[in-house]
Amino acid sequence: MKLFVEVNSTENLRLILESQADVCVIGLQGFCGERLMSVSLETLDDMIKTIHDHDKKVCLFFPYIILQSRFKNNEASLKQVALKNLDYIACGDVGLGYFLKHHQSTAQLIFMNETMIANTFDAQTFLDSGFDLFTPAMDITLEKKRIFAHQMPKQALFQLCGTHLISTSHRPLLSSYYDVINQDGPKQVKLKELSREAKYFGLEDDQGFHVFHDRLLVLDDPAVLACEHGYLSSLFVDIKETLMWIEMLKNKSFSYDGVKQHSSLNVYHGLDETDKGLEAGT
Amino acid sequence: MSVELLAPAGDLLRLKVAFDFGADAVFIGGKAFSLRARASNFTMDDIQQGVNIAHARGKKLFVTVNIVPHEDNFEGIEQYLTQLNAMGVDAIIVASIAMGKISKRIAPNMEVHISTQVSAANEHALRFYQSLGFDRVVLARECSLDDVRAMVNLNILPIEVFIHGGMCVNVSGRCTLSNHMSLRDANRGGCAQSCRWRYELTTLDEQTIISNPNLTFTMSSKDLNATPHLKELLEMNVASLKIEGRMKSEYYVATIVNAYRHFIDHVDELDEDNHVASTLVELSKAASRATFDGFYKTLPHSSSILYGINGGGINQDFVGVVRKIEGDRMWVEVRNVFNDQDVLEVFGPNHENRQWTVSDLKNEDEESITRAYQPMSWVSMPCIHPIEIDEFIRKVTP
Repeated sequence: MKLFVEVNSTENLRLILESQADVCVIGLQGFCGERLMSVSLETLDDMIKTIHDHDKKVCLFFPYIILQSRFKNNEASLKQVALKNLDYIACGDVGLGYFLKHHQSTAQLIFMNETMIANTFDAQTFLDSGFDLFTPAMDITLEKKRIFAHQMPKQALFQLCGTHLISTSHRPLLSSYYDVINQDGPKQVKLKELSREAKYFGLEDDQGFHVFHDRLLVLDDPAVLACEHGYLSSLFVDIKETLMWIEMLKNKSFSYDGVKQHSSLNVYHGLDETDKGLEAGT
Repeated sequence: MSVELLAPAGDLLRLKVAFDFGADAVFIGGKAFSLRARASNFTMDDIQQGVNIAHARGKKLFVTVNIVPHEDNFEGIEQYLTQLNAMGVDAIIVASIAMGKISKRIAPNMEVHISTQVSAANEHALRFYQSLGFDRVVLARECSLDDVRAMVNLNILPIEVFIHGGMCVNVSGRCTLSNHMSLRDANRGGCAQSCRWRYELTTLDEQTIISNPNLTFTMSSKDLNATPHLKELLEMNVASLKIEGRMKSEYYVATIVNAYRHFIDHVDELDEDNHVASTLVELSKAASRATFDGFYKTLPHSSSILYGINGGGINQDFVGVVRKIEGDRMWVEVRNVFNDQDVLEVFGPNHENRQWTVSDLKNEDEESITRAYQPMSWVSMPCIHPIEIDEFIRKVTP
């Protein structure tokens, strides 16, 4: 299995380069907020070389939608991105993938959107349209993820472990709130709905306000682990834990209990069935 | 090209009202494959009736097929789409490109519109959907006027934009707060609107509470009201102006559609500032939640969020519908309480609003009464002129 690992800082990069990770996931300045370690277009070549020199591949991840005006203002840069010696480009915006494909990008294109591919029919349509890999929706059940694993083991890129995005807003919701209560505050917080126990991670950056799950998703299903690609998200997680997941995955000892034993966060297998919306409920 | 005014309808009554008050097209949801599971969705017979009503008036009917489907949700889709096509449905609105492709294969003449659920926000996304053979894109609500204009000018696909109604605070289709907090699938019609709940904020180490207990953090968005930018949207030739709200009442549909129809039809005749001001007044008569102008001019900040307010209130200004005219009296079907000597206002698609003071009120037994309070009962009072059947009556708040 090729392991994609998110890089969140220069220090983390050094440790990940020394690990058995196969692909380093980084961002481009202005397009990934605080979600990943980001590099400028000017330093991208150097970064690619550094990672390649460690015999690893590079994935440039654009997690969010790109509005027309921003796309237009950055079109020249994005054309250059298409021509870089990148191994993978992951797109949260379908338009970016389409653009890169039509500007001679030789990188493998990943449609990386947390919600939109919840069935193999849509997945196949994206593959037929020029994408090489895709991420199955995060909110479907393990049973449904297994369908992807069985039918598309080469193209499905599963998040195997880590915190994951559960909502993203284009609005600066934290800053807005701080303005209203007339005080300054941090840009990374925990949110707790008043009648519930869960304490989600919240992050505001130049891309908006994003909420991440408070528990680590652990996907240790044999069918999923038999796929060709796996993804580790390391935001809000101690890098030592991420390195441990890499080691466990590479020596085939990755397990829910193993992750749980060493994690400061609670862990879960993913959502149970969420069909209630279809029943015209209250 | 004249712009299409596209209105929502949760049932046949609201569909008729939307057309009566000036919608060019109406979008509805079927019992299957549609978001807004609680929006009293249409049976197949209802859809056929809806199509008939629309086409008899030279108007269009769109059906939402806009869930983000799971593997098992494809069961029956081909039969369903075949039926919709046979009924004469003009377009389906999809979030799943696979469902869109299936529709194009089995019903090539039925248009496929890409839902705002996929948050198309740039010209390359439009080209992607064009390459799949789809017919229209509903843009992400995060797009500014400049974004919309640039994409319209490229003439890649007809573009639909929202002008009124509820707003997701998060990028549409990319929010699963409801899924995780209440096991209700936001992208399959079960959104619990968890964004509108109240949250305590702490530092990451949970040692310090940041939020103010008297004004807790929320992500509850105000509704969209694009009236201040409507003239610009009209001038840039978007294909369709969309009103959100399949769960809204007939009164809401009538008021909102009427106000926008009036604006569109008279945009070249009236002073813009006055036109905007009078439209805002009309729209406010059906307001259930505070509004803002979306992302059209600037990135929304705190003034776009409903802090300290738990959702929206129920508007009780709507008091009845004119159902019958007999000589010099009119019969009104009661919806909310009103009293003798209340000042009422009647509005309809063919006349300016008219106000009068209630007098000589009688019930169905011709007995004089001073208060109309029984919902769906009929009361009579002297006619005002002009008056038409199916016009709506509301109370004028002093």
